[in-house]
Amino acid sequence: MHPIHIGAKITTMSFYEEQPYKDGRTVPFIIASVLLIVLAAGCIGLTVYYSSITEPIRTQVTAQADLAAENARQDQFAFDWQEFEAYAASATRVFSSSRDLGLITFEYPVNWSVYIDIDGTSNDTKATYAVYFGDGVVGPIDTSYAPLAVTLERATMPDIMARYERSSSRGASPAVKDDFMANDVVGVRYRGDLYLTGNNTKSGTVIIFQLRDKVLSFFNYDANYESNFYDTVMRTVRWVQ
Amino acid sequence: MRKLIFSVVLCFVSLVALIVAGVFALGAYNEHNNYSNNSVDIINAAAVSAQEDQRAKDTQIIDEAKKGTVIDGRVNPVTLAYFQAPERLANLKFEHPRTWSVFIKNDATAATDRSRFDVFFDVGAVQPTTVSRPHALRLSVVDRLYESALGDYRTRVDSGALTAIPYVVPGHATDPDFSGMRLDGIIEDGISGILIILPLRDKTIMLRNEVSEAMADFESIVLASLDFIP
Repeated sequence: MHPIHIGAKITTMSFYEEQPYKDGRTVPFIIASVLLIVLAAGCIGLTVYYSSITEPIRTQVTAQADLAAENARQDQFAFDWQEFEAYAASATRVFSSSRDLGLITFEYPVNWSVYIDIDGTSNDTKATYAVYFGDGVVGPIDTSYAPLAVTLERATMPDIMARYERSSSRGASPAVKDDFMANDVVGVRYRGDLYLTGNNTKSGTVIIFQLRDKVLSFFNYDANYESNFYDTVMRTVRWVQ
Repeated sequence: MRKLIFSVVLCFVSLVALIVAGVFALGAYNEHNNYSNNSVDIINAAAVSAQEDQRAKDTQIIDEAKKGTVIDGRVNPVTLAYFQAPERLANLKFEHPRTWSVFIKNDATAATDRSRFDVFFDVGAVQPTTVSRPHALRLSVVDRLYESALGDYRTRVDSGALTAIPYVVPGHATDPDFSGMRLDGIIEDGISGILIILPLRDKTIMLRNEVSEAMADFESIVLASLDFIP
């Protein structure tokens, strides 16, 4: 504040300069400022209010979204992995016997294991060749050789056919017999209870072909592998007749 | 004049403050509305996004895996297979090359021989096991104590036909239950290779590699992934 000298001429301008709140031009701005500040404060209050009531909802929704995302990731991974395993399992590899044994070749699923029980090097046994296939592993051959077994026996077709036709003469359910062609050779197929050794029967399919002085047999004992048996193995089987 | 400028500036600043506060308030309001009314959409969007990310990641890994590369933490079904013994045999498990076949000769049941679990592995097809032939891998779990099974090879070790060094299953260096013996040399007449002997309670685990071409896979895949519950 400037000191007011007695006798000094006080002009309107200088009076209002000394008392700004009485200046008509500043008042609207001051009022507007106050109103704006009040409104801004109201907005801040609304922000705080909405933030405070949103926070629990956001926490809950975020937690649910995280859980849903994690589940979706796991489901997708399981699906993709299953698809990949199916791809890996769909591949095939080729089995081939030696030329001495008719060069029997065919494709089989890549995830099957192969066990050569009798490799044709011994002439002591009637069966000169016996190979068992298993999904993943070949189990103990006395108890399981489900998907595929291949044997080559020194025998004639009538000998082997008589073995599988025993069931009908004994009154048991007979194996169904029909022709089956592979490698441009017509063989015989039996489906039903098959006599294997002695009086032991096993339900399944056997397809037999004459291969020179031997009989070539393909066995399948598990219906779950019938598509592999027919579509992969029997469709691709070749041998030197 | 300065007061006027001050009041104008104050008014302007207040306006800016109002705009900022208004934007925040509107944002908070919208966010509240969004979380309140669209929670299902938010959750679904997160799930779809995660699914797409995972698919892209899996596609990349699987494309590489199809070429035969190793997959972290998983057995690549293109190149590797997984063998697991029955639960009653300590959950014994390991990986092996996909090109190997597996034949369980004795499954430690009454159907075969209750005292033995014998599995043969060979590249391509498992060769006949009725005659003495080398195999890529022979796994046996026998009903004999470790010391007794190890004693069978003492003569060969003493004569120098076999070298014996302590062996610990990878990943269990500090656990004595996973400590056994590794024998290198002539395992039996006419068959050379590696024999790992490990104790398993009242039984003994034996892993044999008898084919030199499969030795690298035996050491780097089978032994590296071997595990069981002692």
